[in-house]
Amino acid sequence: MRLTTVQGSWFRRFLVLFVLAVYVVPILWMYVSAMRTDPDFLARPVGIPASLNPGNFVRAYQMADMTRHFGISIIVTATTTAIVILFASLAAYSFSRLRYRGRNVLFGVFFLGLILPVQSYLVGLFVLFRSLGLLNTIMAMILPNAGMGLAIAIVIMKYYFDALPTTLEESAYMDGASTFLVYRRIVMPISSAIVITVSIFTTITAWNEFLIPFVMIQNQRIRPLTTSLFVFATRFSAQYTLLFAALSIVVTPMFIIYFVFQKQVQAGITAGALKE
Amino acid sequence: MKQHGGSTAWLYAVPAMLLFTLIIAVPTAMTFMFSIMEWRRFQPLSLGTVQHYLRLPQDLTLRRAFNNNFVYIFWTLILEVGTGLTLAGVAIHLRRSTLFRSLVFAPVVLPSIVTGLLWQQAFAFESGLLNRILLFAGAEPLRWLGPPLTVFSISLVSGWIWAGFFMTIFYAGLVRIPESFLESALLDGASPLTIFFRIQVPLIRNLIVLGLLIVTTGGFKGFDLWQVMLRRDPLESGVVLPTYLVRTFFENRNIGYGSAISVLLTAVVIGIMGVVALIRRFYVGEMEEY
Repeated sequence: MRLTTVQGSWFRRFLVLFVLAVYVVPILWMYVSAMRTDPDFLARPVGIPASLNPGNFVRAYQMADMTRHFGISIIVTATTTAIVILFASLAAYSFSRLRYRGRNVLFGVFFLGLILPVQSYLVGLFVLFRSLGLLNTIMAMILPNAGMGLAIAIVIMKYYFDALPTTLEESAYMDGASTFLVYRRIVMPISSAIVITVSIFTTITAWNEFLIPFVMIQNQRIRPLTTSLFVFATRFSAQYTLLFAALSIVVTPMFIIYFVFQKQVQAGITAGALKE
Repeated sequence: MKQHGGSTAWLYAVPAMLLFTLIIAVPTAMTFMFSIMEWRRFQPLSLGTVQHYLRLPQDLTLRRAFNNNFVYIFWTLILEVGTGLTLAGVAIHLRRSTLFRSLVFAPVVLPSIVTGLLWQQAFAFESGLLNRILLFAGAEPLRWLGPPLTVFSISLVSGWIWAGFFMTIFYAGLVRIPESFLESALLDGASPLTIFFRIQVPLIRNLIVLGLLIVTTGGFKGFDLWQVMLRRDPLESGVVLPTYLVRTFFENRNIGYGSAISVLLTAVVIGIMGVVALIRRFYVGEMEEY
């Protein structure tokens, strides 16, 4: 509820403005600095720039080879999300609707997987993928991303399915439908809300993943956006405005997507955390 | 509902189970086994040694890492959960808070590498945003990413990212509290601050304990900001367990000792979860959740 009787005090107004400044000023500083020259930036890092020049964006885009790394990130993220949604919905459907021995034990195992930090298996994962010859392949990102995203997706989807009414399914079974037909034609179509939530959560997590490609991928050609940006920042650490331009390029599409879908994104991310 | 299934029902769980086994179950078991093996780089030599575990308590860098993790958790409890609660308390009093809440939440969706690089620039001694503001205010510039400020500065960035996340969770809890719970207090003339701390905060204590859990366990898991922002940290003033682990097994190729650190980190995270579960049981009790 809202305490409508309480009117805004000047202190509250000041606090809101201060908070907005804390969030807006660094972002604004990044965009403005990205359009300056290095000498101009170093002379007065904060202040009115001598001139604004968008050329840095083009230079940063080309020097960071952004088309390639955006492409890698898109492939890795899309595949990860597709795998997670497919595998998790199948498993969650069986945990929620079907009866077989070991079902609760299996679900318990996934629940346990929720609490393990990535550091519990990182060393083993690296050695395993090394011996499988999968280091420096795109699979060394997709499989770990998907594996790490499964547990939370299964738990969220299982509880969602549990809360769905089963009358439609019962009548489908009366008509002789198979369990797979019920999954595909009834359960999944009425669960689009949770599929979207889990997709958003998985997509953002996979897109932002840094540790896995940092450990698994040493080949510059298949680095995703995150680690390629890290390498770029290390190499051009003295070229401040170029770095700001690169950061702006990465941030801008994410901001646009976020502000268009803010409701769904906020719900998706908080749902992912609340089930912990 | 009648349960359906038949002899093939378990097949639905197989793809997820296989992937889970490959990525999480087997590598976790491997890591635990590696920690009691002797290694020469990637060559396992023998099984059944406790030397790596004996080394743990004598490792001064590990001790510093632990210490930094605890300091980080202390600051992030204030800067993430505390700030998040304050912002949620402010947001429920705003007539239209959607834009405010969206803006504060925005850093949560960005890759931490991007946020880390931006704040690394903002912390720069000569050209950084923060020191420029300090100079403008007539104060001395600070070495943000060096001792003794290192851990605090990283916590500051964490707070900038995650305060909006906790604000969103707490806000959702606060607006679910029925109006009738607050009316009598309002009629008695209680101030908004009193109502907030005496009525609203206790009613969302479940969410606050959840925040406690996320921040304390997260404090031992975070890697990205430390790795990205502290590339130039020769004194290792900002070493934490996750970065020390990656340095040990990945850069120094010390599989055995790296695995022992992994096991230690796992034990710490699960231990914290156990403690928080107990707090939840005995302190939060069976109250209605909001």
